[in-house]
Amino acid sequence: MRGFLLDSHVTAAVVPGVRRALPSCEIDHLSTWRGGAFLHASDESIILAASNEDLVFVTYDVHSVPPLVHRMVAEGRPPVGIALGVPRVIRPSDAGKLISVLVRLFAKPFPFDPAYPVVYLRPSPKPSVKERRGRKGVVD
Amino acid sequence: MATLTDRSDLFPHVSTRTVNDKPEPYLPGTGLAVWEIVWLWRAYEGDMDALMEHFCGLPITRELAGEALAYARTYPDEIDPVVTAVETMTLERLRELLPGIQPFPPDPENDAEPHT
Repeated sequence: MRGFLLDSHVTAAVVPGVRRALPSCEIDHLSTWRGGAFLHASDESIILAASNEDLVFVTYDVHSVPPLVHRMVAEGRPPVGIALGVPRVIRPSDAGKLISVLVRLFAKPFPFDPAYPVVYLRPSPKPSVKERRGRKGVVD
Repeated sequence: MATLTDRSDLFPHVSTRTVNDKPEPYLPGTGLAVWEIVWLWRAYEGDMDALMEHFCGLPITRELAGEALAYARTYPDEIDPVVTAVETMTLERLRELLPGIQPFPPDPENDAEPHT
């Protein structure tokens, strides 16, 4: 995947946070992607267009998106990837947690099952001592 | 019962689209359904300033958001069940809807459900 497309209800504040951490990650918000043209589009059109650009669609819409994606999979045309935020797990107001898990998803790409490329996002666990040392360039 | 004409008089910026074969009130040009605005408004505990900050970059004004909230108050039977379903969605229910869904991160030690 090249990056992420954020649904309209995901705060756009996530975009600069991910870009700062991962300059190579393509990330856009529906309000600006393709000049905002997809603000008028159906979920299915958005997901198909994102897939055409190798982007994972990030959404908290656990009402409309699951039946749609399940149908797309059943019809043999799965999207590139869907990352579902579950409001009880990562609050929509918590941009920091969402940024953190998206950075992790991109930096250590989860092996999306091509036949069923859907994940739900959970808060990233705290990095291990080894990971923290690695980030600081400390060698054991 | 209000007619569609009455609704457009009262709520001129709210239209209806079909989503998964069901009618869904929404604000054209914003990408937002009425239930999404209500859901986020509740998530910010009714703080309109925080809600509008959340929507930064979207073509939605405080007046439009207010119209959507008023619509939801007028037609609660259309909006409240959806908002409640989203707010109370559990991973178990999500797995029923999407049997192949996987968690991310997948670390076994992070496999507990709650995170509330």
